[in-house]
Amino acid sequence: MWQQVSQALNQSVTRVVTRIALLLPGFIALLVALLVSWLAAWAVGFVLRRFLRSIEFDGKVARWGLPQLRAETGKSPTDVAVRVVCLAIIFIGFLVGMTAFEATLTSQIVSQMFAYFPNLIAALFVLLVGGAAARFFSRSVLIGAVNLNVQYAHLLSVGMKWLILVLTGAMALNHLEIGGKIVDEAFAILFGGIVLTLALAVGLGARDLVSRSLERQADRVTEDVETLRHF
Amino acid sequence: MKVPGSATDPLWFKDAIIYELHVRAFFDSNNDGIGDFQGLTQRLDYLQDLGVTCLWLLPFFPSPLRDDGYDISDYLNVHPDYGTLADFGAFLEAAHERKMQVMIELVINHTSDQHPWFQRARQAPAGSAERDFYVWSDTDKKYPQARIIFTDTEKSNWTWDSVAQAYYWHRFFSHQPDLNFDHPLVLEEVQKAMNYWLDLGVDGLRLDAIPYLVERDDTNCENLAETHAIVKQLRRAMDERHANRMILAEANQWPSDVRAYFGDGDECHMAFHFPLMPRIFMALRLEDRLPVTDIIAQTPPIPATCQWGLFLRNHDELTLEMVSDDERDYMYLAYSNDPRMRVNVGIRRRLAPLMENNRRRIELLNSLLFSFPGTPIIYYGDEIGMGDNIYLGDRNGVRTPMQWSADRNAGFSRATPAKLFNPVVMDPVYGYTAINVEAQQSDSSSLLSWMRNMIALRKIFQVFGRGTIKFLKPANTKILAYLRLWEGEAILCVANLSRFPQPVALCLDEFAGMKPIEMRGYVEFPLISVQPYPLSLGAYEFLWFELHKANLGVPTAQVSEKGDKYA
Amino acid sequence: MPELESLPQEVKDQLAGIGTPDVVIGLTSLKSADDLTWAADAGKSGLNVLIAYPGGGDVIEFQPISGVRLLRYPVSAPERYFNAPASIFGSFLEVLQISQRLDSKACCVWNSGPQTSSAGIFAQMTQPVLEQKFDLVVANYIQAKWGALVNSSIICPLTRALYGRRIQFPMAVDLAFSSRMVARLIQSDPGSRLPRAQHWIATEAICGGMQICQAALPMEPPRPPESADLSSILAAVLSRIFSDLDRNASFWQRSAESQFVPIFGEFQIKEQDEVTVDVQQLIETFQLGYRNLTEIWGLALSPATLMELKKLVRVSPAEFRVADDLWVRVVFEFALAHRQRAINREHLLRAMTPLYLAWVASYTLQMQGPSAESFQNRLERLALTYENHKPYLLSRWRWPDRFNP
Repeated sequence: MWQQVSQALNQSVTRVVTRIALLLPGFIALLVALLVSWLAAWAVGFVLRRFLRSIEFDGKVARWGLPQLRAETGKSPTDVAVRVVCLAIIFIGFLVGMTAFEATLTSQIVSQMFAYFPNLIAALFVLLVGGAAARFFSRSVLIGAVNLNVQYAHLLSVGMKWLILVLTGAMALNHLEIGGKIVDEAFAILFGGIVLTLALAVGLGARDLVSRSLERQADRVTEDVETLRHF
Repeated sequence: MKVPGSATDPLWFKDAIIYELHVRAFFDSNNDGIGDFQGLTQRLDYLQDLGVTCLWLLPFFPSPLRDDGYDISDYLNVHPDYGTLADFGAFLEAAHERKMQVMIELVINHTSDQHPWFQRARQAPAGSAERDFYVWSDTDKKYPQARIIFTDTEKSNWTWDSVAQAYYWHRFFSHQPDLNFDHPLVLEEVQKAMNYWLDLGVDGLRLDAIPYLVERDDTNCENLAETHAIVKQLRRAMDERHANRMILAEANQWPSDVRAYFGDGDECHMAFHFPLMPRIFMALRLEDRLPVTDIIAQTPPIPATCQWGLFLRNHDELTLEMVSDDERDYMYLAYSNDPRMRVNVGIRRRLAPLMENNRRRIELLNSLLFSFPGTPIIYYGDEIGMGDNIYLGDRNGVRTPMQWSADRNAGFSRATPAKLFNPVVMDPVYGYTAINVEAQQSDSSSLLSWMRNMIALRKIFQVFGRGTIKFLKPANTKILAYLRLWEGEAILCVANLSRFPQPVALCLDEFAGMKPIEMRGYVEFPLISVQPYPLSLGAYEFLWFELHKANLGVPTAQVSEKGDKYA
Repeated sequence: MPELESLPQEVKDQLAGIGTPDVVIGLTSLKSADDLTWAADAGKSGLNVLIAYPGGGDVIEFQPISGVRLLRYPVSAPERYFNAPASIFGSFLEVLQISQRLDSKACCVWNSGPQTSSAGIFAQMTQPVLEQKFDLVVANYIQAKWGALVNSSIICPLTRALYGRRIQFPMAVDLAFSSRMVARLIQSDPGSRLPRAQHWIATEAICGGMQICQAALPMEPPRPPESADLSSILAAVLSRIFSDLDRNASFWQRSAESQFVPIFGEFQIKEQDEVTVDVQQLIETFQLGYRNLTEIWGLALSPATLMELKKLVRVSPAEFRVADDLWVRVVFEFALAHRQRAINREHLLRAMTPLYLAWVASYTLQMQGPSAESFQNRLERLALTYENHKPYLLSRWRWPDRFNP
């Protein structure tokens, strides 16, 4: 009996060892791919950082209206860009390394991931741009509305921000092919709701604007009373 | 058995340099993520090397820790997270061996609602002795003039207790019911607790929230005569059994109200000078000495055996209760642009972030702390310029683990980081890899080295702790200049509150003929005459001068017959 | 923007046959032949005059005018003088280039439109150049109590305090130049690589050591079009001023006390007591701005300034007064924030509109009624406050530490 037990154990061990031996080359190939991609990421990052510094990327980003990026992330725009690129290269290296493992399944997974990758990048880009645009435009609306003495200035600003964020979110989810019709419908409802709210706010606020504008027109007709001029 | 304190001079607290620390934030010896007494004992050498002479420990008693230990559920024990009574005893002994005094908290205004007294009181029938340990009422309308202190979290000073079927009074959090000092047994129990720790050898007691002990109708329930009577009773009890101990009052009040807590030298030995602290920050930001000179002018004289406690920051928010509305608004604008930095009526930031990590400003404020009349109190971590974490709730942002090294968990603990009682500060500017004791100990230009040197310098001159202050009034209001005088000793302190160099001409004619010697480098300055004494100070610079008679100082070289010089 | 040397061939051909006029008058708008009825008087002055007018639209037929040559120059991409709407200004550089090519002794660029043109005015503008050897003549319009308030509150006193010249309308749009000045304006500025004409002309002349004077003209400053909104124009003007502060820092940080700039002709003042302005609305805009824009203002303004504004929000309309030193600090602190790019510059400058309106409200309340002091005294006090606060701007400019009172 002990012989049978030891035979069974031996067979199990042999199977395991064989399996490991089969996987080992793939694992080594994965490590090599990661190492190569890490080196490539380092090299690309080095070159990219020098390039971005030479074109004064940080200053340009600040001029585009995103000086808060450093304050919010603790890193300069150059650092963020280099880091994103390096991580992307390492991730690609990881995916390439995965193809070294035999089995159709891993290849399928990898090729699906590769196919999905551009969508992911696009979605991230849309989110980034949308977030910055939301901040920028909401502030523009706030300042503009205040200068026009619209009492609902803050509401308009918040509405604008969420309008853009909702639009951005929907676009990103669309790129990621998440949610499908539900996302579209939810977006339509949200967007419509925000637009309605803003329209009401603008309408109510515009009453004062219009009446003031009419008063100014009337004043211009009577020429004998002086009006104040800024220029 | 009574253990004596380590001080031999009854006025030891006048010369002390007090270091405020939280046991759980200082050093973790058993790697459970929480600092403890054994860890603190291991770090006493560091404190001794720093030069501090008295350690003030924040509450370490058993507590549900809903107010960082100020909600006490057992006055006569040590919270198991921090160790045992034996550990405390060992720490106390080790501190005394190093000639350091130890001051602990005596939080007698309130207890935790988990304290057996409160649990017993809520079950006891109304009017019974047990019930009356606390202040109860059938309505929440009593004492309407009493202000709410924790405005961010509490809407009323009364809270309904469904077990007792009555409202109980609390000046702080609702889980901290106030003790009823009209009940004689309460004072008895408090005295027992006090004596317990004094018998162990504790040198000082900080009476937390002392103005609020007693309530009376038609008053604001603060600083009442009955409150003072109770404190005096405690003082008497202490003096009868123990020598050379000290009571420090925490009374966040105007100087004239705090004065009462000294009594005639028969109440508290020390009291914090709360109104001075925000005005130091205000003066710095406004670049004008007026806020400081004004509040000192309003500070009444205190008995010769008493002392003010001075501080820049502590475990609480930088309180703005004792300033005017406009001054408070200015402080918010100047020091807390992010609303998250504000809590209750104050700003919850450490010294270094308030100073935007400007070394000169930090040094300047510390120079004021060490040279103003009173005993300086240093908050743990400020000697290395630790930062804070405004994203932690309540005031926990200034109670993060001590940063010992750049190792894991800032060298505070070897526990898994997730187990720490509070996360360590990790940002690029104030994080533990940038700011830690180990790095600064090996750097002679570090803030730690500077603090060590300044403390040592201050300890040489008793005038700082015991002398009077006299402000000079130069025309340049960005210069804060004052004399510290005591038993014939005169120190001239000059500080530039501005970020730019400033000239000043000081009227020192009463010291005409004397020679100012700059203290740190022992550098002789030109003799004082009856003319205004001109000085130029760099940005945030400060100078301390000893004023000597002109024929004192470094002996001049003598020349031999051969023309050789020899000293 | 057209290339400097790329005048169209037809224009070059016309120029070849013109000779050397004494004066080039460059009009930047012209609608019909009636707009040049004054040209005949110009021709009688004894000077050789060339009038350049913009093309575009239908060709206008003119009758020949003795002593005057006419030159139609093509309007390329509209030049934006101070980024103002293109309808006001035409090809400023084209005119300068024409003047330089023809080597004329004086060049006058007229932006106020044909309805204000007259031979007498052009003579006033060019005479200091031709006879007194000045390099830049700046129009000095009628000073009105209730007019050109942006100029009164910011442009004029700031120029005086920082650049050391008392020019009444430093951003006047009607200017005359010597050939030396024309050459300087056409040159590229090394820093910005733009022609100096794209910058603020008055400060270009000051920093270039040019001789400047003013010509008192019997007309009010030209108005922006009806469609222009205060916030955009104010932002454009401030952008120009603050950008120039950056470029010319080494000059204005060393300039001494302000000097008087000669005025030729009799300047006129228009005092009026009554004005229709809704002061309450101005104050409300300021209060609304305080409630909503404090986050932006906090990036520019110091705590002490914000404290003053906070107190101002709470006062009653009758007591609403913006102290001169508060206003000057606001202007200087916005200049500093513009330099430091604390936030998007456009947003920053537009956010200043409610503060400006607060000043206008305060000025109106102070100056209304027969017992009010003369506006000239009032504005002189403001100008002195600007000068007294120059050290404040200097110190914060040179050491931009946000830890300040």
